[in-house]
Amino acid sequence: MVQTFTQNEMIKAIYHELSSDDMAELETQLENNVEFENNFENLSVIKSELNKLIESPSDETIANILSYSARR
Amino acid sequence: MNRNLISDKDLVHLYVSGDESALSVLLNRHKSKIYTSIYLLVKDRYLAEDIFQDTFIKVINTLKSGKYNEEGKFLPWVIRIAHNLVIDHFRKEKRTPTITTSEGFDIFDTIGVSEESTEDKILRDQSHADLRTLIQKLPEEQKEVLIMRHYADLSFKEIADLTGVSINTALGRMRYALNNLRRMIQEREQSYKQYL
Repeated sequence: MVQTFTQNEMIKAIYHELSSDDMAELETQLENNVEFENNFENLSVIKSELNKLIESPSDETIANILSYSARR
Repeated sequence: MNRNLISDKDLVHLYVSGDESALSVLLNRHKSKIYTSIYLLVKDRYLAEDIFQDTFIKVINTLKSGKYNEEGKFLPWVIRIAHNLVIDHFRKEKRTPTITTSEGFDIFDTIGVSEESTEDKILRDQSHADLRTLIQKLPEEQKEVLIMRHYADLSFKEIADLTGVSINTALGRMRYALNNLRRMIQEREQSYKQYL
């Protein structure tokens, strides 16, 4: 029987939380359902946009933390 | 053994037993997840740096005093400490994150973009600032799940445990958050086109 994936399961797939068996079935659904594929693609685009906002603290802050730890 | 292959749990053990360099590995592994999560909540770079530092002071004090509970995972524990410090900050300021206006956004910050022209950098920074603004427009519960899953890299199960909701509720909030962001981005693009 062909499994029908929900929108929530699509979210799990985008964040790599589906099992490999479920992922394989989801890929089959992506190949056979244009609307499902478009939704998946749109969410993937938003996810990659969000990745552009990832930032790091300054080196000075990291040095302060390591220095505090060494003194403690 | 390459230190980057050692689990968080083993690094914590090494650190508690006196290996200071284990903390450096943990910091490098998780600093972006923790810092970006804090920054998106407080919307101010300097404040985010302070809260990030205070978070790790608490982490260090807890680990070195032997009070760390090993039942949970390291990252969700640190994120919870950071989240509580953010809440403490807004309580002290007698305001909520939703009415904070400070962006802490410096368009002349040139770290890591040596190949980029000034014009390209301003456009890129503006685009990022726009996206940060759109994230702030999300309902609080959607923004919380988005930050915890996308930036803090917590699983939906860990988010459900931290926020006291079911996994399906956490997934649903994430789905609404991503769909709302997509809609807002499309609306913004449409409004830009009207001016061209």
